Amino acid sequence: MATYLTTTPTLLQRIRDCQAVVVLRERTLESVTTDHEAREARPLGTFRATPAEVLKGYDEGALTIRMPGAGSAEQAEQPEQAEQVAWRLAPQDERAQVAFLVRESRTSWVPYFSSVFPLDGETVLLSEEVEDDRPGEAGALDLAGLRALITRAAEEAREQQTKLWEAEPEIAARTRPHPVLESPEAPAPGATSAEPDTADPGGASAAPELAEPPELPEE
Amino acid sequence: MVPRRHQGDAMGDQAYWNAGDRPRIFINWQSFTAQGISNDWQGPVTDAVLNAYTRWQNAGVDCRFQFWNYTDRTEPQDGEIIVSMNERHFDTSRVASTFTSWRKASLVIHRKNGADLTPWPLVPFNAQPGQIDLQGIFQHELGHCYWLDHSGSADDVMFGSYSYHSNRFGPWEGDVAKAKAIYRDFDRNRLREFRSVDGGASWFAQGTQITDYNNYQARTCLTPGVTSIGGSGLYALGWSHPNRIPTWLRTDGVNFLFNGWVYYGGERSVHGPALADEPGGLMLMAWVHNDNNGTIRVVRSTNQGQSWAWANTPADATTFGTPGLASTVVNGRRAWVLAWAHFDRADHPGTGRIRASVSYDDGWTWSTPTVVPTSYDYKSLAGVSLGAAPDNRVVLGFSWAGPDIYSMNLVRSLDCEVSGDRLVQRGTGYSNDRTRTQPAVTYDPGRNLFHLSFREQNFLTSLRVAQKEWLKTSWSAAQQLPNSTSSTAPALAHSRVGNNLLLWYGGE
Repeated sequence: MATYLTTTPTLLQRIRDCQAVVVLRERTLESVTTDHEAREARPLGTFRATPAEVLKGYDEGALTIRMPGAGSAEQAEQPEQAEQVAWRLAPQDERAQVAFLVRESRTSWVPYFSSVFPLDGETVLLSEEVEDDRPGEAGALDLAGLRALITRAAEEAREQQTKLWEAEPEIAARTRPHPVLESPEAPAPGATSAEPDTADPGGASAAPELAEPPELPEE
Repeated sequence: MVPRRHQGDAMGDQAYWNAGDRPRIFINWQSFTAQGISNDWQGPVTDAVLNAYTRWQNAGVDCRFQFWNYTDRTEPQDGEIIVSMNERHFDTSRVASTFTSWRKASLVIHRKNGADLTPWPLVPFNAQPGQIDLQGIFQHELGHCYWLDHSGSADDVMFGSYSYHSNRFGPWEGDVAKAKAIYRDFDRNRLREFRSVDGGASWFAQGTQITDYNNYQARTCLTPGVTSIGGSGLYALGWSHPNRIPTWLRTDGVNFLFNGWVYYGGERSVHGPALADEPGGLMLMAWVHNDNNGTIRVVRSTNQGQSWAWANTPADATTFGTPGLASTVVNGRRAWVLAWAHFDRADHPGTGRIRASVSYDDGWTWSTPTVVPTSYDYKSLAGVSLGAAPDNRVVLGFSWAGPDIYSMNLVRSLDCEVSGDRLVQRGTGYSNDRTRTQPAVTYDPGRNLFHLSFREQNFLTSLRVAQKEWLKTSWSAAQQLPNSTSSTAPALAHSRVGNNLLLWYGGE
């Protein structure tokens, strides 16, 4: 007996609840491991990417991004196929991409509900799965529009916090700007149950532990 | 939120409890911190569990969960439910699972979406759109602990896919009917009374005929309602039977007028009733119908509670908790105020906001309901209550379903007045106390104070009372009533003659 989530967040909800939005122009496959937790073994890709631009969040330099692959574990063992299999989100798209990320662990990030979208020039090509709930007929979403939405979301959070300060100062003094982003701490390395692969000497499971993740700046 | 392919309803083992069982809930908190959940969330996650089964108690079945302790065990023993967290459910988009066997259950929250490894946006407090409400998740999974299977109705808590409205604000009629098909009604909550004859300075347990009356119809699982009946010196006490049929009786606070006792046999009340009178003795009573929108019903008595007739109801007055009723005088005209925590399955941000409507003709017509404009976007955890002085001073009590871990369940009140056809806020009453049900409010003309009572969040679920003046910002330190373990929220009334304060509740 269980509860399933059969909906996904809208565009504005993703912007509000993800911890970082970055523009990625290149990525490097670090390793491919096998996800032993899946019902059928599937590849788990670990990539390193240095954001060309940080639209939301803190510029930490190179990021480690993990995601389940789209192909089989056997395909992932073929070096020429490994990257395409492991980067399942628009795998053959050589264009720059915008990624909405959340921390998966102290050292790695995952795309928030698979939110990695190719850029066609300045235009963000949202996938069909994402409900575009911008008010009015906003037309195509470009990077400038995305920056404006991120700024607006931050302003709304600040406005909410200001209202809380005015009405409930004792509560406001104890809260942070955005509880969803701040409260669940990322699990320590090794908390994932995916079994480390022997061909993963530099993978996420072997990454050194950071003392503390950097604080996200106020937006 | 966008519809997404359904992953299917995996079936698990099913549990069964004996009638009268009180399954003990343990939380393996270490399993939550192992998944990166902050220790700050231990209390709030526990509150989400308790809030969830508090709502299930409205179903009125003789199997009632109780939080027992934290544990590092992973396997439940006989009579136990263990709540824990793991990383994910394989590669599926399952948020939570319940695995059960005879008198044992394991309730597992999955930290991540197995499909894409996204940490679920789980929150123990009142979720915003796009977040996943843990209280709602627990309500669904505790339904499985009741032996309930998935429902085919998307309106039910037991529907297999998460929905903020269905999950958090149930159980709904389909859920209750299934639970009642398995378990007998819980019929051991007697209607009990505390009385104060010194303006709330001291209280004593008052023996009453209805408390001693050994009959199913004199029991309840829902919050009762009480009001004075004008200047008669009598009170009207309303409640719902364990099968949720609403009824009422008149009383002097000790003896009851049993002659002509009737029930609304065709009705099922899932919250309430609330009652209010005016100095002449005309009364209104409101409860919440058992449809899947929580439609409010209103009846009126013009013969001092001998009988009631249907009154009209404000348009689209739908709620998930007990409504509040009060009468006052506005510019020389008698005004009735009906307030409620709004419920609309199509409106996530608006659900929980407090709405009110005003009637100047004793419930024949009501003003268009409006959100009470408040100093903050307050939302109610359960129902609301109203108390009013005859000079348009109104206090509305509620338990705050706040947007963070610090505000969860805090007792709050809005000091209001009627302006035209609206209820408007003039001040806020703060309290550091917390409750999982709505507090009760009444006005005491003798001391010119408002009294507030609530069921506290201790293991005894005992009752406390506090006082304040209108527009004073803080409630007094709440006084605990001894031996007041309550299964329901309290109801308060002050006599219009004499100096009697009455507090009614349902307790074993």
